[in-house]
Amino acid sequence: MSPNADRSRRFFRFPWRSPTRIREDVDDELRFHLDMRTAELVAGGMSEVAARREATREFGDVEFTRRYCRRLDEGNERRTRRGEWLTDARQDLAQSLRVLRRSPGFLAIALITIALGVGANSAIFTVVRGVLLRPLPFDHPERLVSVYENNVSEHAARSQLAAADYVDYRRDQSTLTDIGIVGYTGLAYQGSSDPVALRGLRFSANVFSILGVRPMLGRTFAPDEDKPGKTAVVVLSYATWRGVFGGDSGVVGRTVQMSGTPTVIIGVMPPGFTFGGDEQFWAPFDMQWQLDDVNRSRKFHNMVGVARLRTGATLAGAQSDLLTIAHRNERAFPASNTGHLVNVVALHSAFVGDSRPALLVLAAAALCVLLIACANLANLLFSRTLARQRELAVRVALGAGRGRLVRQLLTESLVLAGLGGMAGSAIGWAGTRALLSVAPDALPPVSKVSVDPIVVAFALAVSLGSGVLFGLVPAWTGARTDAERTLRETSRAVAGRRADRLRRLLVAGQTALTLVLLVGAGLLVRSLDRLQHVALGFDPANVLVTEIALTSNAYDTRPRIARFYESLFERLRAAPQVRVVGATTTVPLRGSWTSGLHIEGEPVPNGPLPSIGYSAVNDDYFRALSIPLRRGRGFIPQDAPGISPRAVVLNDEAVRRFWAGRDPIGARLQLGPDPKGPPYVVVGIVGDVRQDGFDAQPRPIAYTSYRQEGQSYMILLTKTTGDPLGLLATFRAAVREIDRTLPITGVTTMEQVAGNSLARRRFSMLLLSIFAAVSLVLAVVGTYGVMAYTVSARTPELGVRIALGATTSNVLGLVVRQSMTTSALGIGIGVIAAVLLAKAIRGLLYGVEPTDVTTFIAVIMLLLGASILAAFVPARRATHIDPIEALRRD
Amino acid sequence: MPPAIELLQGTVDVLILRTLAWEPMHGYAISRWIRERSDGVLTIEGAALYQALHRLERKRWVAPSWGVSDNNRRAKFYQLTVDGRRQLRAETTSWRTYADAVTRVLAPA
Repeated sequence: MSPNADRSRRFFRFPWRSPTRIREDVDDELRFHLDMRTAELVAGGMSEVAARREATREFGDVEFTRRYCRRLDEGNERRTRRGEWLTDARQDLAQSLRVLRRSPGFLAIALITIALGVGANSAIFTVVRGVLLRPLPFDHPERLVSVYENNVSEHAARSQLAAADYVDYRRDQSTLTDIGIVGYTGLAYQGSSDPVALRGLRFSANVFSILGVRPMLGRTFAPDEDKPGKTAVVVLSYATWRGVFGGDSGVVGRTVQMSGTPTVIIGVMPPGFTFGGDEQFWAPFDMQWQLDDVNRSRKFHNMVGVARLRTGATLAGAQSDLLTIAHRNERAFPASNTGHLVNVVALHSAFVGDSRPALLVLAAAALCVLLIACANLANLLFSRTLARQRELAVRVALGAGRGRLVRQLLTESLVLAGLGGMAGSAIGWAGTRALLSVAPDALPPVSKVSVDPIVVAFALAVSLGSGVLFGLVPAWTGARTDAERTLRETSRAVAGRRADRLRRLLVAGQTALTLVLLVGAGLLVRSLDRLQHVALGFDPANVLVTEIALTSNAYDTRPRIARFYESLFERLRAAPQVRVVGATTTVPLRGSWTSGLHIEGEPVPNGPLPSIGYSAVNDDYFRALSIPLRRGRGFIPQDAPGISPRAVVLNDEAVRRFWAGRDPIGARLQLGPDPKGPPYVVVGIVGDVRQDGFDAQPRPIAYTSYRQEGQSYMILLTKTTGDPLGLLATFRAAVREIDRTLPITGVTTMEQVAGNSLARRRFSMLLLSIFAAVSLVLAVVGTYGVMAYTVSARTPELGVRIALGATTSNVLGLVVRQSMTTSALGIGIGVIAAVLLAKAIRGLLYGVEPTDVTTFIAVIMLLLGASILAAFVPARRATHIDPIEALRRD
Repeated sequence: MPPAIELLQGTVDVLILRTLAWEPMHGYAISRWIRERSDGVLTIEGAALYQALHRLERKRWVAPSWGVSDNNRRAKFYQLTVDGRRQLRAETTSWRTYADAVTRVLAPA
């Protein structure tokens, strides 16, 4: 044997040994020894039997040795395998880097492709994880539910509960540990400097314990602290404690002035605690006054329930449990409860709300981009593998097995995937930041979107997964190389029909996916376009929005409220840049309040009163927003507090719905829960506005005069000559001159309100469009790659054709036609898939059918055009083939 | 013939390495070679020999290969590796030092 046998072993490896094989080897070896020794002793004159006994005795413990050797060998085998695997991996890695460095163009294209695919997915995953997957910061959040009213007649499944109904649910249910209630509120904190407005939530005393959260400092509400007659208390959010109270832990237990009421700060919640919004404090929810008022107890809806499922109870069980109670109340209180049922939903879904379908669609779209990128890379690698067949053949000839070759080629893919994944993570990170800055209002406030190790791990897994995906097929094909044939043949046309068909299928698949994405994006773009051209019914230009709540006791009567606001309007009107000062309780596009409606002379219905939108406004509201007056008059100073009947102005939709063509001017009616309440008289009719958002049809609205209603929480809409925000300083000064303690909140402009209400749609549209554009580019590159390869493989054939007299246009047509069959196949599949899938995004569309013909045709034309373009460049090259040169090459 | 001496484990290892320095051998040949070379003074129990061989294989000081013995049977041959040869040199040196020291101590004054 050669002295270097141990080194050669690395090249000519013994096959791996199985445990059975190891056992046989050890047995053989020991038996050989014993046999030889026995034979030697027999030769020395012993009998066969005695010799064997003597050999065994001399040997010592045979059984132990057998087991000892076997165990050592097995361990040795494992170590060897590991070592070989590592050596191979190192070799493959070095080889891959060498090969990739040799073709920088390919490397760049491949990296960009992977980076785009991975980047899109990791950006979306970051958002999806932040919004949909992150558990809520409560104890066992999966057991928490929200309890809404299901208002059947208004098709509002997530309406607010009435106090008496809540009391019944809480008392009679058997599936929940407890039900608490949550409502909105606001306070003005009067510190040493300017007054600060705080947004907050009212919690019944049991909510904190239902959520299973503890305060960071102090305490939360005592069990009966939400009953009337208790000292006013608040629990602060961490941010408010730091920002407004300077992070002073001595603040707990201190009494401060909140909206003119001495209020004790009893605790501070830990950072990160929020009940679905950016609330700044929590105050007890006292609902006794509602329960005591027969017109409000079941008709005034201002709370949402929060509850925890009992052990063993399910969401569906809780729903049917509460529904039984709701049906019982429907029979017992038909006037208030008919059609007012109950809706129990998981708390997480209550918080995340309607962002879920859009995010899932976007996640699916990102996955499509990744698949397209993978198909592209598979194709690219395919071409490379074919081009490298001679190299691979040489390796096979030198003894590399197929598995070894697959590994080598896969390593290359994985190296690409790893590098691309790194770039992709960077893109994803930047993309996430860009998304959040483009659309801060597009995501629910509860979500916490950030890049963390899990997101990075996800990006890595996606990269490696796609590396295997796009690497496996070409690797396998490459490894099937028939060494002898490849080395013998001089032509490079070894592609084979099967490989060619596979590549065309990949391109067709890419085209199909791209079409689906383009259709989705197209539909969203058209929806947004429709929405932006919706007639709002008002003019949002140059309108400053500010909110002022008269929460303190100084404004406890209607004349006092009117006196404050009228003098504020007066002062503002004196400013040169102010044109009109409007004020309302409900800003258009932001939703509406609803009220019962009873028209005098009509019978009181058995069930609930019909519902109508309700808004209290000042005299100049319609002028400030340029809402047209159709008939009669708007509000005038003579509509003063105490005058009966009060004035009411209806919108077109209300007249259509409730007067059906008759003239409503002068008609008398009642608003609110009580059909025997104070009377109103219709004095005018105005045009419809989109009160509930761009995508909601105008609803009937009754406008009342804020002076007669005594509304103390008004939103001022000031029409200015120039930039509305420029008025802010003047505005603050005017308020301060009248009352130093009043904070101004909710500062924005009507144009921003309009923009924000489209933010979520714009977010989805923008993202889907980016994905579709990326896919289109990838698909074009893919088509180009395949056609370029086909042309070069067909060069001899095309050469012959040209030699036989084929014209330039013949050749062009030939190549382009070949490309078109592939694209047509992809488009066909894509159209079918898009028709099936578009229904999934119906909820995201407005004014466009999921099978909108215009969109489909436009997308098909775009794709056809793009694929012709992609085929044209290689086709042009085909026309320049020199027939003599082409034939000589073969 | 003097009585055979049972050998300690470390000694077995170095003797095996030394034996294999000549040529690759199977286990039985190793045991015979040591016995003959020491004129029958040193014998290695079969159990100790094979445990040592597999241990040395694991340490990569010897490399195994299957071959055919003189009487045409399948036998496992062991061969010294580069590492094994280096180890042999080191152990031989330290053995000599040790043996000289012991000899000097035991020598009559």
